Amino acid sequence: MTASARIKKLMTEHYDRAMHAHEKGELVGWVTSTFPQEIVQTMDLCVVYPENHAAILAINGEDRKCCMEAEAEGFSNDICSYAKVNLGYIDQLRDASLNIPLPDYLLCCSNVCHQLMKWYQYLSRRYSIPMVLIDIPYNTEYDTDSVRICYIRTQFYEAISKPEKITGKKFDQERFLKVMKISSKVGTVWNKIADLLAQEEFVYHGTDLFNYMGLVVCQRGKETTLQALEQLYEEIVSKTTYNFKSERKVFRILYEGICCWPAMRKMALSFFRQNMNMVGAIYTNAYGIEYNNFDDMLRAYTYLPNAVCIERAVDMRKSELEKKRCDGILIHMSRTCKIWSGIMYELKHQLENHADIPIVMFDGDQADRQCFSEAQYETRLQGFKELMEEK
Amino acid sequence: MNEIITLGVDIGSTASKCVLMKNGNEIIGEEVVFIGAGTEGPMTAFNNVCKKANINKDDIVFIVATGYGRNTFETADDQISELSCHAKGGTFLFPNVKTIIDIGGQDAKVLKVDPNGKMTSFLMNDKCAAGTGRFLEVMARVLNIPLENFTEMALASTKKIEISSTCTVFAETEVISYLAKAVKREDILAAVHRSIASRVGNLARRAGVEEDCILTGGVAHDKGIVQALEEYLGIKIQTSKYCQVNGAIGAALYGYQIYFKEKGL
Repeated sequence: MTASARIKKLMTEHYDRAMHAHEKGELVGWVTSTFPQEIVQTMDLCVVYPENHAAILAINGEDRKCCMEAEAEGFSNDICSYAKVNLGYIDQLRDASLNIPLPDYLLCCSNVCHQLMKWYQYLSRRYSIPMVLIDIPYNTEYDTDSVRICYIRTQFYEAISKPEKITGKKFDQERFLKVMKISSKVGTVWNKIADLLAQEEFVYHGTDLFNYMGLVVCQRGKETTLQALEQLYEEIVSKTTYNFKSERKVFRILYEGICCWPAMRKMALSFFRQNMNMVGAIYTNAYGIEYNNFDDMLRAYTYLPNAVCIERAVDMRKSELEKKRCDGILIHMSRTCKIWSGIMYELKHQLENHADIPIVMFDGDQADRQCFSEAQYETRLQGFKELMEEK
Repeated sequence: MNEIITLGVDIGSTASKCVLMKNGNEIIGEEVVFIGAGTEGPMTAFNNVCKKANINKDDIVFIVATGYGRNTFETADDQISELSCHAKGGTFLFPNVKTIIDIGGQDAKVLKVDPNGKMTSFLMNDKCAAGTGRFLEVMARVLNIPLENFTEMALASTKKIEISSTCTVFAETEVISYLAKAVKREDILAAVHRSIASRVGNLARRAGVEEDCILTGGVAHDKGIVQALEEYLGIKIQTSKYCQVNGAIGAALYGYQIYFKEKGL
């Protein structure tokens, strides 16, 4: 079985387990994408990640239907479209290309944004279910100091005891150490796969990382994930699956921003047509979480893209630009991801001062296709290529 | 050497423009048809320009299509974005240009070009009709003034009023309420121009305005817009009688360039 098929199988099993959990008397949790999954995997909690689910529905063309339902229910058009898709899905449309069961409890972490907190608070009230929150505040300082680590550590312990009471499952310290080890290894392999794009010779299309990141989001602490990614890495380096050939110069681009899931396939195709390869993406890099010990793990969760100050954010991009020798930066201005899109203008300004490469923005959204216009995107992409050609 | 005839076709959302050029330096024909992508507009413009210039289609060695509908013109030999074509055309018309402001039917863009005429950066506003030709069309209907009379009427304004709405639809409502209060149409029209100038001018400021600065696109025929933009940006803005076909000029020039490159000359 190829790594790609294996990854697909693991994701199918992940969702299947959730869909049949209630039949087997198991409770289901909904989890935010950057909640410390080490807790989830240590306790073998049956969970789904609504953001991942929303992304899949968006890829499959079901985003607009869900968003309209959410808006008809009274939610603002402006809220995060992951939330809109989820809220529309649970309302009336629970017959989609991929289904998830309603939650029995919620696990939320604020290191992505506070919008998620409000979304989950609503779900908690609506379904009268408990919500466990780990608050990782936005850090205005460059590094995460011990005071912040102490704050998060205290919550971490609470975030163990609450699911224990809710699910009846126990948190085992030894298993936790093992899960931490696997999780960090997964982060290492994920980063190794991403770093292959730093090579002169292209060995795969960078947009493929968007296809695989679901596994890293949803099952990072599992041995099967590690095995699948190690296999993927081997397949890429041995070129048994991938055969990236181009006779014309291929431009190396850094993709900035959240993935525009409704247009993900179109984007991958248009990169190919315009002789571009996405060699770097802050979004996919975010899940290359590596650490050596418990405090390091907590610290790693504070360094996710939306939780860091602008100075650190700029340095992350500068590092990626240098490592991947990028010819240009393509910025996705996601309409409903205010926290990420909000820094884009300043980020662009600072990166323009740093590197003499074209930086172009296009409008879209992570899970609402009405914010994306293919014709307008194609014009900007072609202009972007022409700018790189002139360089 | 035989004369090298190239064609540039700019297929916009509201108009199709064709320009024939000889030897990459002389405009020998131009045509504008006021229907755009997805219609018979591009082919009609193509047929008309050849007829007017007395050129046989077979004499055209290279055709470049640009604009929103560039991929739909099957006769084209190549497609280049309107961004690069406007930069190319603008530099041909004004060799010292550094900033090109293009106001089209449904979008506005600002291009920066280097001393060699190469585009170095661009910004686009294509999410909103305010600040585009569409805005003027809506106002023409509400004010009952033909577009071709806009310049004369706006320049006759004597009183400064404001249109504060950023949305075309709400701006239309504002204009209607001014008309209901018997405000002079000349004054309203001048306010409309200032409204566009502020939208587009802000886009230009974000890109960084450097002289020489030119205005292209069909809207550039309206001298009221030119004047309003000059006042807003505080610089001289140049235009050309070829402003509406600037993109097609650039496309024709690219055609000449690519033709020779492919020939290995």
